[in-house]
Amino acid sequence: MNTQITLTGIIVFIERNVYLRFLLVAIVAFIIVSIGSLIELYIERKFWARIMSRYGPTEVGKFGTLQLIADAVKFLVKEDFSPAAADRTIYNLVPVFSVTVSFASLLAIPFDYTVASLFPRSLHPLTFVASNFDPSLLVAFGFFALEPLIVLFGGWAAGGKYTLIGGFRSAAQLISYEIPLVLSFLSVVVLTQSLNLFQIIQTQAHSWPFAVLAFPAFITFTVALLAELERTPFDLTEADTELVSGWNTEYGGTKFLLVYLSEYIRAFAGSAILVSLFLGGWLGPAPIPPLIWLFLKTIIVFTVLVWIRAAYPRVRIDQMLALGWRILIPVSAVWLILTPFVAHLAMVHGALA
Amino acid sequence: MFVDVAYYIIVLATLLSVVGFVVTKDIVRAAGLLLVVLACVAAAFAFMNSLLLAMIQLMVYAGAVIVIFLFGVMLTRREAPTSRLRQLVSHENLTYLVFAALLFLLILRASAGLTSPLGYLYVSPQLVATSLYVELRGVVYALAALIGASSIGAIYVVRREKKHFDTTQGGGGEKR
Repeated sequence: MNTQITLTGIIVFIERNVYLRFLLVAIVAFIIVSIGSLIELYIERKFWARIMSRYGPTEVGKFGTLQLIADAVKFLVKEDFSPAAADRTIYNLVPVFSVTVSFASLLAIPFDYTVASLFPRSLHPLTFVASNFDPSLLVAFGFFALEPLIVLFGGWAAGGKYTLIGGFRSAAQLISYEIPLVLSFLSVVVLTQSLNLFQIIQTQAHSWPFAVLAFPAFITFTVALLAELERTPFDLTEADTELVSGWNTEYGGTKFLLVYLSEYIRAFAGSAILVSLFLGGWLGPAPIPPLIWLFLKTIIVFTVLVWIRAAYPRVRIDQMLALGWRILIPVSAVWLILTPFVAHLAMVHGALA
Repeated sequence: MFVDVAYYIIVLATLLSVVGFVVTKDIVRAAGLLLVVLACVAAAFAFMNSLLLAMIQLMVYAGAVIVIFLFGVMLTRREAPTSRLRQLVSHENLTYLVFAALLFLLILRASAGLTSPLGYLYVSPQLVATSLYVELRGVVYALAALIGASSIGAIYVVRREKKHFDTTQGGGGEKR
């Protein structure tokens, strides 16, 4: 019996098995996002500390690196409790689902291509790309769309009035800002005629970045993404002075750590989608590999979000609604109508492949 | 084989969630179970290589419609009347039993005579579906009619119970 396992044999086996390729994508995404989330947390703590003159995150350990470990240990050793009024089954399930759904939205982002491209071309990296499937953009937003439900269930299951009000606010905000978000990315879909993030990035290799070509959509998408991620100035859902901490008030210890982690995973996924849609994804000058480009751009976008968070005060609820319904939705809708004409002009002048 | 087993697990989860949705006493949990049903249907679409449909199902039905349900439900604090409706619901074990027996008989009948590489232990979903919707379509139609009739009956019972509740409690409708 011939039991010799060759590299070519393994490659062929992986190529033929689509589920195995998805498993590989999941593992790659897990590793990249874990590292990305840690870097995000580090950047956020340091950046905030510098802007607000806080000492802890800049002083604990070398370059403040031990602050993250101190935070993690603090959460892990805390008592695991459930409020008396909580619906315990749903209350305990919500943090787990929150992390799962956040991770699932990353399956559509072509990290696997960037990893595969690190290997020699003779291994045919393109055949490994599982994230190169047609409605991958919809997959990312499909899982994004489940977050309001998790928030609502989390707020309700905790059994407190602050959590419930926070849950309602959060779900209403997430649902209402999904409209400009979708309208904005639709203009990119019209430009590329594809719902595949992989192809959207590849189109930008022969065109201007869509951040330039579809500038209004880029701005509306960024603002709507800020609201979707519930980050300041749109953090009404956890307005400390009104709702203690919003829908996750009653979560503590490891459960809060999971909720907190899912927030950063979503931020990473959102930044990576923005980079893929408007800033050319992994595209960049050759000496730096695509994986580093994608990662670097994502981290830079996240840093800008942190900067906005540190620099702007929280908006009032009426301001948030006015911004969403009176500015973002009309602008993104009008731009969507204009996009075919822009695409035609860009094609004529060689700005779009 | 692996894909088919995963498909069966999703089908089983859908069926259990449907039954749970009908018999559960907690209305928010019922909405949660409905969410599981809709998410499982989306997964079934994905298994049938209709990823676009799966994502639309996830975004519109599981993502948006259930949120609207939950908004309504969570703001309601109406106590359900403890009368015949509650008694009907308390027969949940019987409901589970009847449902499981019907399902078992249907799958047994649908699988009978079908050949597969592993014999009767394993029959692919495609074969069962063909058998169900082609050979046993009469039974499926009868079951669908039964479900329709029970839905109409449930609406009738709830309306009668509400009227009874309003007259005995002197309530003008919603009690918060």
